[in-house]
Amino acid sequence: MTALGDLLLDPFAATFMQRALLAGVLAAITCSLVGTWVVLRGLTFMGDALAHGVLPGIAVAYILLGGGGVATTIGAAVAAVVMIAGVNVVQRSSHLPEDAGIGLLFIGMLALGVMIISRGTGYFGDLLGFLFGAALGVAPGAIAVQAVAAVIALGGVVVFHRAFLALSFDERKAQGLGLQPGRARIALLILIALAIISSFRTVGNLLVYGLLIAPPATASLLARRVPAMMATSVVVAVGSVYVGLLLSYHLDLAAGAAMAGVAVAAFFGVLAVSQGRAAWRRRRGAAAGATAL
Amino acid sequence: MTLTVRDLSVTYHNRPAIHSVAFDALSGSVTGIIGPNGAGKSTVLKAVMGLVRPDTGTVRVDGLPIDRVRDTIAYLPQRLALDWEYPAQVRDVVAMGRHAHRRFGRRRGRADHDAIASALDRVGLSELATRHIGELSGGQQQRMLVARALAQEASTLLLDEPFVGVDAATVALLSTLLMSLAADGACVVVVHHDLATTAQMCDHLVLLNQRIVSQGPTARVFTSEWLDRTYAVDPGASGTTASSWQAGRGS
Repeated sequence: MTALGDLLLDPFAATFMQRALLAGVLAAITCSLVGTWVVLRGLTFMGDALAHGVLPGIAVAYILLGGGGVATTIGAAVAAVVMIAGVNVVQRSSHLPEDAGIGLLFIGMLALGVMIISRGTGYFGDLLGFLFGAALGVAPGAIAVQAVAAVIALGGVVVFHRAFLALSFDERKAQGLGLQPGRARIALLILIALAIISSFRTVGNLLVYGLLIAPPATASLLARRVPAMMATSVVVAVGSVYVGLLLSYHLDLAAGAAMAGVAVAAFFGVLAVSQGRAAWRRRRGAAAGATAL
Repeated sequence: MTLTVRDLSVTYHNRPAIHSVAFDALSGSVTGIIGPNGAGKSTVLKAVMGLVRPDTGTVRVDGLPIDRVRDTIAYLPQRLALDWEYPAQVRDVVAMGRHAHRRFGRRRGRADHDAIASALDRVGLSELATRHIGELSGGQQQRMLVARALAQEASTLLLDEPFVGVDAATVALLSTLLMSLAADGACVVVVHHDLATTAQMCDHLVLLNQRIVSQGPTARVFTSEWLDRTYAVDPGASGTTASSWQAGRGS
């Protein structure tokens, strides 16, 4: 094998690296399908808050039931339901805008999570894994959960495509067309929670938001239709996972952080190229105009 | 088909926007709502659609509450209220008009494709069906929104300032199209600030300055006396005075 092949493929000879790649790819797919709507609907703050707000659920499940995958997944799901319900309660029973309610629940849940962690000495190492991911230690069971989540996410975005399209382009029209934007909104929040809960053990619950937002945001710079944006996002996200794991292996970096970091770097790379191209086109256009005169 | 509005009042942040507005819009006619800036013209349409919550009032279509007949009503928001960077082609947006006709999960059928193609054709956008919406001119964007209403096969159309920032060709095409839709039995309501085109296009006028100043057939209401009264009291927003309608009328 060539030196380049060694560099790119050798790391994945080990089983734990294969599992990390598989888990990362599944997280990339689920997060891209759901994250596209998060970006288009302007729900990024809600996504961020949900990603971090599930922490107390994970912490409680871990302390009471042990660190099992199923227990922490259920804990995260319960915390997500509490967050979504809490945001809706604040919105309905006060005059505060939605983002104020999201912020309150976000900080409240994060504070609760940290308080629970600080009470239990000895859990710190494992909980760091929840916060920043343990991609290199993913169990086969967790990968199966992620695969199921990816299938549900795919089914969800297919079934709700029209409703999400109307909801994100023109909510008033959605209401006029009897698409029940309220129900579509709840469906979208459930899908966001699903993406976060199924992916947090791979990339960590502080970093899963990176996969949820960065690849779809990159895709929005490139794609002109929603399905194309999803496909582009999947490609960008899978690429980020692969490159992130390579960097993690060769440079001895935290895997979750490397994947999320590459995804964000890809956004700024594409943004710079597209801005540069636009500027070049403007210059060329101006030059052509000048010669025409 | 009659749109009946009675005693409609809306307050924004303790300031009255519209007060006890009442009018009928009939099928077969184009009804124009005119008045100075801040008169509450857009608010009337939003309150009719239930997009803002009225303090008082009822809105009925042929005696039925609006929620029962929502899919027969097309509301066209002000063009600039939409996100034109959204990743969609012209055809995707027009296809949204068909959502009301398809049950949940059903795929697009021949009737849907025909309705979309016909709607695009009627507004002269067939050639641009696969363009990204951000590449359209203002006039083309407005035509696309009308095509979405056509694809919906709505019997009532509510248009909020459809002619702002559009080219003269589009104004001519759309006003002819709206008049022909009315002639075919649709109920068309247009909020508009340019008095000259309004007078040409509308059979009925509602003169609004937070309250109804006058209403009736255009020939009877579109007089300097009524327009002076409508524009005489500045509702607080800047700009429009009694003289500005005359400028508009002269153009």
